[in-house]
Amino acid sequence: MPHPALTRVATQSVQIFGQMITYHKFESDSFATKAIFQESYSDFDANGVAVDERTPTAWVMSVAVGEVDTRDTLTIDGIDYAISFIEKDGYGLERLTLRTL
Amino acid sequence: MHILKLQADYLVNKLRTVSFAGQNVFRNRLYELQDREMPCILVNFQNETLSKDEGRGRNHPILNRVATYQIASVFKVKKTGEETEDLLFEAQREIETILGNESLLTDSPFQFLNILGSNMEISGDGDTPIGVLIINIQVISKTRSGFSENPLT
Repeated sequence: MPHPALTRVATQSVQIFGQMITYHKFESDSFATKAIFQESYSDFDANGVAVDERTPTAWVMSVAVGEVDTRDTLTIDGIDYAISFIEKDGYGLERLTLRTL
Repeated sequence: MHILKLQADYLVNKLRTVSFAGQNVFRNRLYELQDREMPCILVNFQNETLSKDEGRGRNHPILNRVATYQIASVFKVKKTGEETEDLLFEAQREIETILGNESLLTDSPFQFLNILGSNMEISGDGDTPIGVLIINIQVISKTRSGFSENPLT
């Protein structure tokens, strides 16, 4: 079990550095919450040739979004995203790998 | 020009008739593929083996040349995995049709072309799914030793 202080640091970092997003629960309500959003370069190799690609990622607080479903969607900066992968970080955050809809 | 260059250029020109690729056929592409360049076809020479044709004269004996190439089709499309796989299957059908057509050998710098096999990879790791179909082919030709620029028919 992680030290409670580390969990507080992780969730506080989202509170302080995160931006407001809209989280849409599948077949349920939408609500505003904070997320650290990142669009990093994605490394894909097509038979030895790199392909221009990015991987949008959002860090959200587990307590804010509850149980994440890959059918949930997010709206960030006016762009709608679906969830491709969910990773719990063990410190109260969820790392959501996204794709644009 | 060496027969390998003749072969590679010939394959590139023929593959430019594939409907999804158009001019986006690249030989030995080194640098990153941008969205506007896909779908595309990448043509890469792999290797060549030579053997002497037995029973021929000593001066400039005939060489049997077997070269292998990889033909990779790259798609970046907002589709499901199943739809992307369908695209790749259709790409394979179209490429096989062109490479398997008898007319391909007319005026070509090789005598035979064999399709050795294929494999594909589809990734959903990034923002947009990427599908890659690789077809391995073998082209067989003959030249006289020392005259690698003149394919024999």
